[in-house]
Amino acid sequence: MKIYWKILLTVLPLVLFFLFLSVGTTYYFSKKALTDLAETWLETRLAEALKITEAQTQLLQHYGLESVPASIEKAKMDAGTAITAIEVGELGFVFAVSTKGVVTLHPDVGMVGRDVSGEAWFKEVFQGEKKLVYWGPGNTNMARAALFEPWEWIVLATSPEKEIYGVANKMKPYIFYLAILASIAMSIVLMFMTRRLTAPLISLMAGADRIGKGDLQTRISIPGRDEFSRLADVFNQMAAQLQNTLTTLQQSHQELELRVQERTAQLKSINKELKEFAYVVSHDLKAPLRAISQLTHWISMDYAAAFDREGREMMDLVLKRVKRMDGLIEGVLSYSRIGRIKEHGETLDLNMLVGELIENAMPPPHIQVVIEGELPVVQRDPIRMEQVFQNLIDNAVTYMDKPQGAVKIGCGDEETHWKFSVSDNGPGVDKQYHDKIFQIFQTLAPRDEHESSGVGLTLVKKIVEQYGGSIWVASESGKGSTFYFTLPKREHDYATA
Amino acid sequence: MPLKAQPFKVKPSLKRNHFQHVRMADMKQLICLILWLWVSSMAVHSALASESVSASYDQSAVLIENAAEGASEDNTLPVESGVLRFGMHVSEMGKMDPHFAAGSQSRVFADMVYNGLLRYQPGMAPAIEPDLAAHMPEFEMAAGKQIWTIHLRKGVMFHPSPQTEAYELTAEDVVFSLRKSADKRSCAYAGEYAGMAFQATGPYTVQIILEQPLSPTLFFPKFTNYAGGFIVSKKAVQKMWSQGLNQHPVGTGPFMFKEHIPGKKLVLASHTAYFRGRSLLEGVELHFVQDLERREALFLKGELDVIAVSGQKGWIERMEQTPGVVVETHGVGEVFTIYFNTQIAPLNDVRIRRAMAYALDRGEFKNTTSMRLVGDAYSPVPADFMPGGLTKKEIETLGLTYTKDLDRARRLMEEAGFPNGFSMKVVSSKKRIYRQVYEVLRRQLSRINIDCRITIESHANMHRLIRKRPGAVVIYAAWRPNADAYLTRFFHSDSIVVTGKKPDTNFVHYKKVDKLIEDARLEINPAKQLNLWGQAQVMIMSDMVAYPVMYTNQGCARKMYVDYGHRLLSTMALYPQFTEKTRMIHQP
Repeated sequence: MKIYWKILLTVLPLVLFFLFLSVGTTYYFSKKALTDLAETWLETRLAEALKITEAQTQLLQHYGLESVPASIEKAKMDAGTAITAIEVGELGFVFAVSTKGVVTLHPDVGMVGRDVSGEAWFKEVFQGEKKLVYWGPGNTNMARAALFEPWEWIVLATSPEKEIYGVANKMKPYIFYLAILASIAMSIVLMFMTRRLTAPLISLMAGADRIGKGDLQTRISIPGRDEFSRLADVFNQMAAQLQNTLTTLQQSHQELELRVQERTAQLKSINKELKEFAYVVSHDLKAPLRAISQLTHWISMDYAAAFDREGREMMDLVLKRVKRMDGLIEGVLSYSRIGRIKEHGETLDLNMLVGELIENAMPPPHIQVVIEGELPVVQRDPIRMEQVFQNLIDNAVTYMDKPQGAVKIGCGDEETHWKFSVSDNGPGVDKQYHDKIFQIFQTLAPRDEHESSGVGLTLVKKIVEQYGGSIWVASESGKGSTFYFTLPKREHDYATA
Repeated sequence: MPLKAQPFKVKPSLKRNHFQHVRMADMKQLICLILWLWVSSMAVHSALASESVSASYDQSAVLIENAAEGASEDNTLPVESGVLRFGMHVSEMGKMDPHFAAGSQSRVFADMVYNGLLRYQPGMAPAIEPDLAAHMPEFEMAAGKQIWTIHLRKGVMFHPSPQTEAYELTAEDVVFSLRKSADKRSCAYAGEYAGMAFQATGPYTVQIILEQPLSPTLFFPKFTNYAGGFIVSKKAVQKMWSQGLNQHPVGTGPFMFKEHIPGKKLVLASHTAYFRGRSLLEGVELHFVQDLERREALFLKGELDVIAVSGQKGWIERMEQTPGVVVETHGVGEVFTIYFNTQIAPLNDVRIRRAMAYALDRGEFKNTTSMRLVGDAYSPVPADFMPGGLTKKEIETLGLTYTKDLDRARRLMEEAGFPNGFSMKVVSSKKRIYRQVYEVLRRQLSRINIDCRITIESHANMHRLIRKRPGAVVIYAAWRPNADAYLTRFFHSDSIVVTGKKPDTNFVHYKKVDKLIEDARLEINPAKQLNLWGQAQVMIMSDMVAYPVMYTNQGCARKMYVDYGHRLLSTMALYPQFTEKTRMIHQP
């Protein structure tokens, strides 16, 4: 249930209850006040009438007329004229009956002389009751009565209750309708006020919704200085802060993006330049190195006799270094070619490829190189795949330090990719060098022991990664090594990698 | 009979509020209310009385309506601005000083020539309205004295005279006139103004200071256009004094003195500067034609436009048959009352007086004159003409009507020791009405063996004799302006003939109601005043010292082209009243 209805349904019944309570109370006390007023009113009129009769008897006494029947009658007539002229509202009047129950005085001349001794109200009055309520012609009447002994008159001031309560009775429907109208008006006012009270909440809620949906420009306007207004101000401040933070973040993100793009471009450019540089340097260095090698060879040949043993050894050393240099340059060239020269994939049965590589490698007799299981058929460049397997197999054979060397090539199906392994029982690689061995020009054995350019594993790693795969080594020093690499099964996987 | 009663209906609510007004002490409103009530009752009475008269009366009433009302309301009819000729039943002009006006011709004259501070509404007496006063006066009490303040109209002009030019009336004239009224040497009604002082507090403001306060009921009539209430010109009086005033009266009324041919006529001209506007008539001539036949002949010949009627049986009915003639009757009526002298045996026994009353029959008395002119009277103060009287209904309720009951009368005579009756002497006037009334009295009393021996005297002699040698029974016809005057002059001990302090017309030697009369006179609460007057009359009637017989109205015949310009119910001036609105309509 919405808070609007909660407030309305809580407050409205209370308000209506007190409204009707106050209306009812007003009506009750008004009627009571009217009753008191009517009693006083009737008593006043009765006293007025008695004053008139008293004045007439005093007149008779004063002028010695109390023994003259006609004078007494005249006094009664005069009193009657004055008394019947006493106004008791519009419907009330003052009248008199004899103690024998005969109406002696009445504004309605037709009533004069009527015998009312049998009426219940007369009996009450006759017994001394001064206040009475009686049923008259079509009305319930209130009356006040008093005995005027000299004339044996019971004088009554009377008025119908409908006149006494006329105002209240007339007020009744008006009060009722007024209460209804007031209720309606109050309900409308309450609805309006409740709506006005909850409007800030609704605004806050709507604002929160919009902000939640990302519209941080949302501001909630609640005029005034109440709590809602202050809450809206705080809410607006919060939104403003959020907006500033987000703007700052967006700007930072954009700046970062730009920087990344710039750095990527720079890296690409540098990489490209580096590749081109390596290629150019390697290619350009190779020619003079060949010339040096050729010249050194010629010198050693032509002047073999001129050199002593130390000289010859020096010349051999030169030739070895030139050869190593050539190997390094060749490695750099190979490395730089990867990704630079457009490759083309073809269906390649790795069983055949690896088999030919083993055969061509001509490993020493104490080293057995075998393919375990079936190698898959892949869609790859044969040269690159040959480079991968050849480097791994050559390393295993080259560094084999066991009298019975065993090199095994295998492959596992890993659903999305192939997982190849080349394991040996050679010297193994200490764990601390597992990453280093994939860095270019890094060798674990001295070059003088094992001539190596230090490019092979770097080249393998680059090819594998170029195909979207990865390479790692599992090895412990003295326990052999297993090189694992993966290749995605689908061509487009690596193509897109 | 819509003519008479309808316009004077009083709303029941007014009646209901009557005493509330008393409580509010709003005397002015109350007195107006009482007057209206009284006028209303009179109108109703007239309407009821008319039920018993002939069809010709009904016809004449329609004519009255057509002429007196219809014409007055239709101002589009052509008007002859001629001179209206009024034939009166007197042989010569009376006194023209209004403060001595007693005869009907003098009252008629004063009515047209003078104004009062207040006036009886033309044709509607006793309803009173402001005349020279700008509005109805109000009083305040100061140091035990009652002070009435009167603000005068401005621009009221006196008539020019050979010795005085026309000039504006001021408070100085009013004070002078009122002081003249209060002086018995210069006013026949000076007693009415005893204990009063008059002073001008401004050019248009007059204060009347009363030693003994009066209710509006008694105060207002003293300052109306009646008796001493007429306002005369100070300059004219000082120049001419009273004799001169009789030669050439100067007033402020709608008509002014022009010519007097003694024994023949008096001519009045229109007062062009009259404050209510110039009269529609050029003037009025009062013709003194005492002889009825001659008066009738002149009227029928067209030499008179309006004439006073005769009360002779059949005269009015015959005149009404004349084409183009309308006969109207109006108040105020003189009240015929039979007074029983309580000092003369055996009338000193109330049983005898009551026996005589029960032997009388009002109907027979009324039959002595035209039914158009008479009505029943039930109380000493005529309730039909003024506040303070007891109505027929009240008298009936009180059991004081003394309806003819010969058996009861005889029983009372027997109880009083006069089963065989007695004899007594009475004095009658030569006037027809008196002779006839006394004769009816004699005839009726004879039924209970009372021998009534009538001596016929001249009218003046009768008046002298009944005041000098009071008889057992006196029949007296009189009009008095208010209840106090009636009661004081006929029933206060001071007014007892011969022996009273101020011998007047208390023929009955009555003394029991002095205090009631005196207290009523001083009572300023009109309701209480009415109560006291009522009780006084109840006492009088209980003791049966006076038997009200009937009242006789005034009557005039007019040509149908005469429009009085107002309704005609009752006038204090004893004639239909000619005002600035009276006119003569062209005959097609």
